[in-house]
Amino acid sequence: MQTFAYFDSGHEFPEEIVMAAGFTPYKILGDVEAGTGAADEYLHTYFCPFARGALNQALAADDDWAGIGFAHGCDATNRHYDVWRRHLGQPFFWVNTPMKTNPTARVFHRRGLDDFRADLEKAYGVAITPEKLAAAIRQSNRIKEKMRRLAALRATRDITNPEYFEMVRTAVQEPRDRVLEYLGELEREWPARPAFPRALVPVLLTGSDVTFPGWMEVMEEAGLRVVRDDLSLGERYFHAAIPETVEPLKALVEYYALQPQPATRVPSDRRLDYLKTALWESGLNAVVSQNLKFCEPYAIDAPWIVNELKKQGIRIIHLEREYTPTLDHQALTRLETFRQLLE
Amino acid sequence: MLKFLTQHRDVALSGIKGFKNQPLTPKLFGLMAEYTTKSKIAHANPWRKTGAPTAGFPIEFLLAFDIFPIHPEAYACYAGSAGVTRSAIEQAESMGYSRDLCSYMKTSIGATELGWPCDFGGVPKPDLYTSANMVCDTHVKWMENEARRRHAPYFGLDVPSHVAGSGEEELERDIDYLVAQFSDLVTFLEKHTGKKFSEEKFMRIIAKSQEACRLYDEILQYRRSLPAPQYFEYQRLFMLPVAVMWNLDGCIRYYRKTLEEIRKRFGPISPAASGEREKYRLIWEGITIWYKVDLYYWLAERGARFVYEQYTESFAIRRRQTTTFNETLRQIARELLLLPYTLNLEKRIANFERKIDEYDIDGVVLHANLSCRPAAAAQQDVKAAIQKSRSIPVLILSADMNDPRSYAEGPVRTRFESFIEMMEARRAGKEAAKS
Repeated sequence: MQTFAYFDSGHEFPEEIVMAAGFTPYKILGDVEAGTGAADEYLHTYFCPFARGALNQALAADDDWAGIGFAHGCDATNRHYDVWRRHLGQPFFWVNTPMKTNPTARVFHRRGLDDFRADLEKAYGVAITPEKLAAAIRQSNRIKEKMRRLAALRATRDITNPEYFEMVRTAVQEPRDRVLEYLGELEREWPARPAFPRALVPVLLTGSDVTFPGWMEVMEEAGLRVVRDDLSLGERYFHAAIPETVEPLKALVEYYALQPQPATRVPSDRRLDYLKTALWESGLNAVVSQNLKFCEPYAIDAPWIVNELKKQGIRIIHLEREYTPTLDHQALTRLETFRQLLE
Repeated sequence: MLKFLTQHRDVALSGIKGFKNQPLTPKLFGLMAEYTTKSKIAHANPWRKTGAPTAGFPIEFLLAFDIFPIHPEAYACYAGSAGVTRSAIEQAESMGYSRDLCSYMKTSIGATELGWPCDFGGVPKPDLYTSANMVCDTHVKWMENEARRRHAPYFGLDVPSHVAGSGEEELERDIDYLVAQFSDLVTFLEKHTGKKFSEEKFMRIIAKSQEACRLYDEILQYRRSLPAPQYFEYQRLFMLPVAVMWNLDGCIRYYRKTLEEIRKRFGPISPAASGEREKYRLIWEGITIWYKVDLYYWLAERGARFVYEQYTESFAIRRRQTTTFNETLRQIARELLLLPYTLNLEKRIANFERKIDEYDIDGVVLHANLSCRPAAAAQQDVKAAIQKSRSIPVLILSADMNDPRSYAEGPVRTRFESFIEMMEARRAGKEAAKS
């Protein structure tokens, strides 16, 4: 099955339409080890390094992908689309996901999904039937359900931050059948793990999407274990199920409104509400908030989120992090100090 | 204001010096003062509603509800022109806003927090906030956060991206979405003003707005003349009345009078020389460097003048006259989607090529604005395309619109010196070829 790659600054790209077209959706995450050199020829170095890393990967993987899709997300996806399209040879597709989820936005979202389906059908000569879409949705829901169950084990079992990251990375990059198989293996293995280590402090992780394991390793090294989050490579991906009782494209529109909200969407209060609920549900009182260097939506939200959670008596630290594969010792020192304050 | 002058004497004195350094005519200075004075009066008037929009937001909807536009970005530009942004920006950073974030936003938040008046970047508390996302995420995040912080309602207008390769079909779909949102906006404004929307009143305002934009655009067109009647350092202030629309009648009178004066001087619009051509005629892309008007003076001394900018053109987009309400709404939506400042790469390059020809351009400066990443996207491609198709020098200049900490005089001048040398070499080559 051919791979269809997509660049998505949140969890907005409708993978299921791509699956129904007979492709394996592949979320472009860049390769932090490879850096951003080739992309820097086209994008200023003060742009989001993740976005530059994604373009860097795309430039190298040009022939491996049948097509590339973008979802309207942050400024990077919205403005870099043209640059990608100019320098890469594949067919390109743009999905204009709305900034809001109110009734007006839903009508527009639905039209956008219809158009995307029609564009794929035309470009690849395939028929994306309601039956195929419904099957893709069912498969996605099975994956999300397994991920939810596995993620819940973070609070009680010894599941490291990089292991959790790897689970989600696999889910957004590997063929769906292989993902189900892999998650099945984890379902057998993770419940048998030792109990949550006493030496570690459980926290909620929020902010920019973590797209490489290095940051998870820094937190692990600092003695902080992520047991809840609201990341796109995390709970945003699997928190909600796609409704199966309504017409498939309508279901995808409804699903969009059920996800934990990223900082690029308004009203932002829904993002804070999810964090508060997650903290309350899990009995946590510590949050690590971070934004990747130059990630504006999360950086702008940071003072508000930090202050609001502090008002709730939550202990919170906010850090700006680099896009680097090496262990960030400055961040490590600050996180270690934070952990000591929590103990 | 008195409190500000006593508490922040250094800022005030430095600001007055900064304003005096601007190329202001008495009339334009008077208009700038009128806007801030009227902002303060509107804010103090309990019967007058005020609203804070961002650049590009269709202000006419606010005006239809008698809402006075309190324009945070305009005030941030005042502070930038005054050269007093640094301490305001640092104040915002002390509140947790990153060094890498928009310097307009930080100037505005910091100056407001410090209690500075709007002449120096502060924002009197408005009754509501509105913004749109076609320029950047920051417009949305900034206004929404400020609305929350200051306990005021917020409305966000979602403008889809009309990316490269999109056609008329996608445009029509996106226009439908915006028109539907205009209806939501009207509902929001009716709720928060207690007034009913009047189509007739809205159309009267639109007619004025279209007339103001038409006049302003004609003045812009005159910049094709040799020499141009106005340059960027003046144009960036001259656009204020049409950018903010606090007094559309006054705006029309001012532009009409200016246009009459220009017509008298230049006759019909024509690129044919009516006088001496500037040595180097340039395009500037991106937001101006507000605190560094001296750069433009320094370039002028070397014969380099900016005669076209997408930035100043983008504030006068209501150029096409409309007659019916529905046609007007669709036209406003189209204008938002096809703003010169946010054109997709294909259209942006084509627009550059057209303007280079129309304005007889010798060189292009692309401002790689550290505070405005979206606007600086794809500049390398723009540069490559222009150099290939028009064979003129293109300079990518790294600076920041409102944060003087990101501006280094020496390196900037060195780069411009090389840029001027390139234009000179091209000119000499052309003259040699002629002879």
